[in-house]
Amino acid sequence: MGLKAVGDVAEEKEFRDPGLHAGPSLIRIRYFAAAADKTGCADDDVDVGAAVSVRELRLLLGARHPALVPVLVQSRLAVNLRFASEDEIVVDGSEVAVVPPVAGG
Amino acid sequence: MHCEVIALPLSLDACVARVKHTGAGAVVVMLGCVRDHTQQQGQVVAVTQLDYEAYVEMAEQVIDAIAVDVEGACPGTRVFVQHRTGTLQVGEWAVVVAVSSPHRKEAFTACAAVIDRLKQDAPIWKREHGAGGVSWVGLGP
Repeated sequence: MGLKAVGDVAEEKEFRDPGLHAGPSLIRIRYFAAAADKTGCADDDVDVGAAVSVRELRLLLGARHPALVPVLVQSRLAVNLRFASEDEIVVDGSEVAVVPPVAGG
Repeated sequence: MHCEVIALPLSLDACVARVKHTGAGAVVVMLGCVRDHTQQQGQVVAVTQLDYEAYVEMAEQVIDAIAVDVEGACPGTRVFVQHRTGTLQVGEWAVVVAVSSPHRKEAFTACAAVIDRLKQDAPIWKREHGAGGVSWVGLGP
């Protein structure tokens, strides 16, 4: 078992805390390009009930918009303007974007 | 901020003005232009126009971070980028990357790095209109 500074533990606890509290957790979802074509909307406010991981949110979005799934599997998700890992926890009030394969330039 | 993602025609002069200074011996500019053809399933097909869409807030943040990073990796360089959104006709500029540096080599290197990384990570999409119909570039089946 590795040693861990007290500060690290406190930070980790704080980070995970939202998941322990059930309650309203409103997330603004934004769809772009092919993703917006599939959902028929540019954004969606989703109440997920509790904090969820990016992985869980993916499943939820697929269930909400079955037509989105073929695009969703090719997409990265961004949380609050940054690309997120699948394990990242999405907290109440976040903005999550479905980012299909990009083609700038 | 090292970039602008805008719905107006891009300005080469404005981009150069943002990076030019008396210590800069070189300014390298990359212009990304709408091409009249593309490859679809190995075939060359005509393109008549492109629609660019961006997640503007994030695209500006991502491109800014790339510019800062590249400036750090290529000492002495200054980077500025404009990217267009909306409907563009063949020949119009979709992106301008301007880089200055005391000597040309660093400016060429930095300019190539910025456009490569922008194409990989900036949340910007384009839809091609052409002989092959209308489709989002880069999207798989």
